[in-house]
Amino acid sequence: MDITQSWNDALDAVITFLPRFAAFLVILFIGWLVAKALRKLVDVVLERVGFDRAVERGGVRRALAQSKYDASGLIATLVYYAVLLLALQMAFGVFGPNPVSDLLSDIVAWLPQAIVAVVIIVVATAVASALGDLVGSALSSLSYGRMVAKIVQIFVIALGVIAALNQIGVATTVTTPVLIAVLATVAGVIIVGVGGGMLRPMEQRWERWLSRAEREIPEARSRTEAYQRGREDALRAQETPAGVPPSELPTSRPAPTTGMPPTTPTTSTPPRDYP
Amino acid sequence: MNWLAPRRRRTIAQRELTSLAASIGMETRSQWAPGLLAEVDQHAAAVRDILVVTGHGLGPVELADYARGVEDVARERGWRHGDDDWVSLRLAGVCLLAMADGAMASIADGDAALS
Repeated sequence: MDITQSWNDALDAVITFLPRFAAFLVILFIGWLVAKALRKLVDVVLERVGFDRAVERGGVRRALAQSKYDASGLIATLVYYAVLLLALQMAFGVFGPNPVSDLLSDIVAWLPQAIVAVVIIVVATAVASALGDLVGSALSSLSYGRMVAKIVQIFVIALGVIAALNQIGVATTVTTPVLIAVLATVAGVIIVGVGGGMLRPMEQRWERWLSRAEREIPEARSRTEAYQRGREDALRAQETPAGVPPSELPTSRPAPTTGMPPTTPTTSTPPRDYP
Repeated sequence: MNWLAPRRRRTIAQRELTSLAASIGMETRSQWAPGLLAEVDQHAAAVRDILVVTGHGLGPVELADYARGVEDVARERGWRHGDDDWVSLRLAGVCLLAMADGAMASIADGDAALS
């Protein structure tokens, strides 16, 4: 009685489990096929578009030199495993809620962040390589040019790595303080070095400017002879009674122009023609 | 910075002369009465003579300085822009000189050579 009951139960369980397992296998197989097809497709499309050449301009080729993948192959493999993961998740979903399914869904939810992190690394490497070339060639005549280029490159790559790590969510509590500390150190070095070094020359320059301004301003304001002439003329004109008739105005002209009486008619013509 | 100083002074002087001309209303001088225009011309000639005889050029710097001198004294005596008197005529003459830069300057050089 007991035995038949348990036998029936076991049989029941197996019978209900078998179609599910079959469905699991079928989903997995189809997913694998789709993943393989997509890998091939992505690889071909990326090769055709020229993705490898575009990427090689950055330092990615060097980074991938030891691995068996090229850039497009890497992306294709990523797509392959992503689709495979999705298929696995769907397949395990057949059995209802279970720990494996939970784990898989976590991983699938994390995948976009990983892709973004990879993109950040690639972009940072490309930028660092371009910047390094630029700085290196700009400072090629200096003995320390290569070193500066290297430092810039490493700095940019480090920034990219930290950003990527933050994106993935790895050790944010560690990387962010490290980043801030490094940036603060760099800022402090620049402030003390550049600012402190500039202190003395800037002081001397200010002193020079100020003393020159002190010397020049009164001179420019009131001590030029033209200014004094203007004052004298105005004073002389004001001494004559107000409402001077126009015919008497030229009397305010100074005497030294005796040698050239006909200047007034000749000079009075051009301004009229002047637009 | 030293090579900039004369140029800067020149620019400042030109700006000063431009604002002076605007406050006098030099842009309307084509509508002035012929008598007024002739008076201003005479003033311009007088200013030119003074500046040339005292050994200055007729650059914007000297003209602006001269105008400032005239204006300072006039202001001390309570003169304002818009009064129609000797000061306005004198300043108009300065503006005329400043505007007729090329022609007047060349004539001034000729006069300087003569005297």
